[in-house]
Amino acid sequence: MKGQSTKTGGDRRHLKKRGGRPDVSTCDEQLSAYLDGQLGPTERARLEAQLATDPTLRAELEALQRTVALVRMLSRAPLPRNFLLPQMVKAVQPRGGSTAKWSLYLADRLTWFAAATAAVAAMLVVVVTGHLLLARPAAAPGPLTPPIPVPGDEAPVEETKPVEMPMAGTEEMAVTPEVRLFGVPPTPTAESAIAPTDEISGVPMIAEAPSLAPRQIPTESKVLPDLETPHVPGTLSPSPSVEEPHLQVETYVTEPEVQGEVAAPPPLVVSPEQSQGPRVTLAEPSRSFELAGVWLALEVGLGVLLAILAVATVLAWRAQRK
Amino acid sequence: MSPLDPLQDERNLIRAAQQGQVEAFNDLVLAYQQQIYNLAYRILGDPASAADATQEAFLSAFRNIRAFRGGSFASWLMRIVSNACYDELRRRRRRPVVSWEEFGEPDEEANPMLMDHGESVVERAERRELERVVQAGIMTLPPDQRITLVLSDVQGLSYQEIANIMGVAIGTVKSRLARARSRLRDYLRQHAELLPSLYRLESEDAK
Repeated sequence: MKGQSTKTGGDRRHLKKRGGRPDVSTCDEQLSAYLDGQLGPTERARLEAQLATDPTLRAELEALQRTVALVRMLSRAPLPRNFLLPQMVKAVQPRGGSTAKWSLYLADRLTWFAAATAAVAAMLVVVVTGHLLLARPAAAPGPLTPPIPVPGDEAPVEETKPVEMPMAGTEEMAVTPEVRLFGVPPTPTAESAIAPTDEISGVPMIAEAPSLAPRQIPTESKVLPDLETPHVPGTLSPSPSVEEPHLQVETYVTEPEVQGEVAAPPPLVVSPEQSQGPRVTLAEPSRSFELAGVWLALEVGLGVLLAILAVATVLAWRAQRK
Repeated sequence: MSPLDPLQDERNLIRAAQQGQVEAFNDLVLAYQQQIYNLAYRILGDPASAADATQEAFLSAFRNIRAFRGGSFASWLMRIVSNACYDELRRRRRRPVVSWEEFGEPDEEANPMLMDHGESVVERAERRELERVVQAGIMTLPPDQRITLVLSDVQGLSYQEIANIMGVAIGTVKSRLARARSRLRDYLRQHAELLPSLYRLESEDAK
């Protein structure tokens, strides 16, 4: 509508040719604003003066007034139902930026994050203290190492896969050590050979070998033929069952010598009587290495987790305060 | 709910809703649904669309409640429902389905406000007819004017509040409202025969 800007100046003119449609709107805007008390004092005074002299304008105002009154008296439409939101809407979280979404997510889970942080911190403390208490002695030299092999005089059992030992007596199980025996030689490179052969050699040679080997042989001779052929390269598989023990003994005898050459210190450590001693201590360093790795991995993992959770907790706390 | 300070109570409910509590928001829904539904009903003209717009508005309000930063919560809700109605009107304009029968009729029997005024049967019938005609007149207005008129004359808001809700200048509100009223007045003049004699605009006017 055009007249908006010319309303004050144009009033009189509009009123004179009131019937003309285009101008009515400007006049009506004045009247409408007048009804709402939205005219400035000068405008209102001027309009009121016009109304006093112009009955048509008065009628117009009255018609407008009635119109507004009719709208105002419209009754409130009765509610057809409630508009309560279902509980499941909870899942639909407020939009408005991914950060808002995140902060809300975090704020909702503040307690969870705090609890998780505390739990992980506690775990980390336990792990670190455990590491300090257990791993340090293992890393320390001589004096502390013996206790492990000593208590069991058949101690190598503990250190070298205790499971295999008792099994050796039974028929079926006797096979597995054998398989391993033959399985080992093919890959005896300097280092890797040490640990496994130690384990196994420790078993038959000293304590048990004399007594157990004979028992095993007859049973093995039944079973072995099946197993030997697939697993063992031709050089090691002996044809008669009786020769096996010899074979075993021979290989074992040679190996300790090799070890003795490679690692000189162990003998020093092994002041305790048994010849098993050195082999056990030999195995230890590598094991404590592994353990140290595990400790470290645990600590680093927990540390990282703790850091993440701590950050999340702080963010959640700040989000909730907002 | 402290009866001492309803405004503080409302603020608490809003804060709780901003934390994602639907229960708190539903208390706000209960407080405002009549007003919001009525606004939607007067803009859209039929109960079904009004109910849809109201539900949509409350859902949208809850989703965006973290965007509410103080001020009048009622105005904020009215802005949302006005937008919902505006969208609905634009949709309708693309495929107009409005018919005379849609206006005013469906909820009259259930409307206690109409029933218990001690009106006689004739008076009540007249009133119904009157509301039907006025509502039909409102329906002839273009969306902007219609929403402005309803916010002003149905909801009783000030120009400033309407300007805030609709995101326009006060001058725009003023002119839209004036045009809406003139247009409605013209409609009611044209349909004077439908109005009870008491309410005819030109009853005393000789013309």
